[in-house]
Amino acid sequence: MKSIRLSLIVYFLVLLTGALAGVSWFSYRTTAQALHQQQLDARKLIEAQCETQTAAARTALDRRLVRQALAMLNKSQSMFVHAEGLWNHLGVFGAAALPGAHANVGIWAERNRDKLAIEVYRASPIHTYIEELDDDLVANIDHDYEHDYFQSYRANGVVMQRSESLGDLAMALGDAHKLTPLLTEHFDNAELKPGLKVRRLTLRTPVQKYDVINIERLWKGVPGPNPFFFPKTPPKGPNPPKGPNQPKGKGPVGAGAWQRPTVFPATVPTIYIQYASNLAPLDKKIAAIEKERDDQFAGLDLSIARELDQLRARMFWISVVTLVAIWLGGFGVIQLGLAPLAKMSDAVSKISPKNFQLSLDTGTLPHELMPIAKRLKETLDHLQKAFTREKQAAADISHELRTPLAALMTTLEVALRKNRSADEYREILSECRGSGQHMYQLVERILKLARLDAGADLYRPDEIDVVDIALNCVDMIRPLAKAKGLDLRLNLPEPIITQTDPDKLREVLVNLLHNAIEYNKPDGSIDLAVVRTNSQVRLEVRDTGIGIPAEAMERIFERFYRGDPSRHADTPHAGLGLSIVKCYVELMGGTIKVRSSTEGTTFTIELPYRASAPAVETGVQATRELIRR
Amino acid sequence: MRVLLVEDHKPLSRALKRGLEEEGFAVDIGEDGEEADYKARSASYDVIVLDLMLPKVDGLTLLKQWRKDGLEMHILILTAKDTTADKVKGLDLGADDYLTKPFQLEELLARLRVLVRRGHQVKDPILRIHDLEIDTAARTVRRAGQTVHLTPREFALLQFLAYHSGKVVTRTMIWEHLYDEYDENTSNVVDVYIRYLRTKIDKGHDVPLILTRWGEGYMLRGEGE
Repeated sequence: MKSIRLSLIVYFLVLLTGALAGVSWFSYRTTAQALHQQQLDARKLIEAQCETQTAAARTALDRRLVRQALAMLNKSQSMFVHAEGLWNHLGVFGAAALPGAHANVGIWAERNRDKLAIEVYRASPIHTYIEELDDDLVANIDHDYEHDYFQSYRANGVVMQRSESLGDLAMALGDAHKLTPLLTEHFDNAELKPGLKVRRLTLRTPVQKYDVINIERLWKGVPGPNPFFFPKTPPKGPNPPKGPNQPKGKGPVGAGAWQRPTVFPATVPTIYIQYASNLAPLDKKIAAIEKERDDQFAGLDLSIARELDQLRARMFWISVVTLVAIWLGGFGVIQLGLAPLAKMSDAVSKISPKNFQLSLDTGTLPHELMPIAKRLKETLDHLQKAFTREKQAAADISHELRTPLAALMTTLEVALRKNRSADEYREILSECRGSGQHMYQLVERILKLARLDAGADLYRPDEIDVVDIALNCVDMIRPLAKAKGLDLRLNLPEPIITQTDPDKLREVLVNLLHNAIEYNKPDGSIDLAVVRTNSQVRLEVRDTGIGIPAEAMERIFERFYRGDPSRHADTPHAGLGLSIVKCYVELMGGTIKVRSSTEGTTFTIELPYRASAPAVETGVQATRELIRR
Repeated sequence: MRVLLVEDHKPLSRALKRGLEEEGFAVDIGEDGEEADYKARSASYDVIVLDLMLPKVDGLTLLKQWRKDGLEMHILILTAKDTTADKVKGLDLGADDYLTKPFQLEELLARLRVLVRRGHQVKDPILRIHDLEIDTAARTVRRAGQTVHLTPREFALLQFLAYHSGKVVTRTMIWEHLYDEYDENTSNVVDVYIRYLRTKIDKGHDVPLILTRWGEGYMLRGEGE
């Protein structure tokens, strides 16, 4: 058995569960996507941070290189000494010793780590002389002994200073010396030896800061800076060394006054500083940064995965709780929604043959159920009426049969109480026959109605003369009328040939005439008229009886209804005659009307006039229609 | 005992009248409500057998009216209406008994006898006066152990006297209770039947039971006399 409630619950819950699953899935997807996006953004950020840190580390290294190189350059600059006036003292020797020399011949001395390089030049160096010295510039440079490598050298390739870390390693000059601008720097990476990679800065610059000694003054005992043993820092006397572009001869000249020496720009030496630092610490640092980045990545991935797990768990529990709530709620809601149906079902289940009442307040019903309830009520009312009618009919039938049966039995019992004469027996038997006939007629009528109800009594049309049938009936009834002293008057036209059921017409007329006699006043009259109009045959039976009371008019065609509950021995008045008449007239496709007053009653029957033979179907159909009604 | 049979179904009333009369009842018939009402008020009946569905005035209306007007005769409803509701209604309106059609004549007779006995405040169906025994059910009479054969009318007269034993019963009373409306009232018909009874009951016995009170009527000797 299918249950609406179960189906509804199942469908509803399946739907809700599906919707919930959809919503959960969608929420999860959206949240997960957001989390993934967040993860990507965070990755980018970490990546960018890492890059920034890497770049900063590289920049820091480069800056240090620059700083260190500049410091070194600064010190290297200070190492140069320009000797003037040498030529004047050398005179001819000088010219001889130094072919091509002229007045402009000068000496550049370079104080180095542990050597003194003296370069004699005119327009270009013509002689280089290197003397070992104790001075150590390298020691003066604050540097990372382990990782820093640096050297300075002249344009001619003479290395001036080298860091101890370099040892036997050769730091190639590279392309730096090809740089043309006066002061320039060049960063590059170099490999000092296999596995030793360094970051290197090469600076190239002409000497701009140097000490000048005047040999002439030296010789003349003019006080001034000692050309060979001067302090490590440039002298800061009244004549501090200036750049090579110092205009000549503008300073104070004369004894005691230090004259700015004349220096030919072409002879100013160019120095190169190479400062390198092992890349290992930087790489290590970068590796550390990258490791940190990777750690952060891992942490991020882990946290996102954890969050997703949590999200999944949360979604699961939310779904479970919601599902349970929906199941319980849905069950309740459906229960509530179906309450009217249950109410109706209850009310319907209370219906029994004893109680046809639908105990349901239709006012509280939802409008969807109203038509059902309404129709049900109507049907039940009809059923109850039919049922009551059936019960009443059964009661009526048994009641009507009891009296003649009682008469029959009593007559027989009385007869059997003692011996009687033949005449007495004859009389008693005649009484019994009368009762038997009474019962027979009653049973016949009941059966007629039963056949009509069952649709077994069919309309059997035949081509007949209505007037002839009317005359037949009058002949049958005339003795009765005569016995009662009633005047039977006829108003019959020429023969009316039509298609109708002769037996039923006869029954109808006999019944009506019988009633007209039965309920007439003494010395009254009965009129029978038959008229044919275009489409109808009208039969009229009029009596001069006491009439039918108004309250009985509506009920005279009801079965077992009697305006007067009396019975007479000779005719069964079970209140069935007019019911049969009405059914028969309707079966013949006609109508019956009754008019009544205290002057008498008139029954009018109108039958359809059919000249030609109709199809048998019509009869069957008429019967069916009657049954339907 | 005189009965009014109110019944409009003629074959039944004819058969019942014959059956009751053969049992010693005097039977009048009322064919419709009006006739029954008239007869019930104008004669004194021991029992009225009343049908309910009657022309003109129906049985229940009659019953109600009679009881309201103080008519105290016993009423037995004899009808085709057999539902409990109908029975209850009939009995509650004052009927003494209710019998439905079809019925056994024996039963109707027995019930009528009950009603007659009740009318005389007697329960024992056998009336005993001195050495006289009247079995009202079997309709037999014995005097000193000897069975006495009586005609229905003689039995009815003896029974009537016995119900009133020790009291004088006038000729009119006898007439009213033992003869129906169609019997011809001749002055000596009662005296003739009394003579028949005396012959059958008292002849050959020392103590006469049927006594004559001159100028008043007759009486059956009471127990103490």
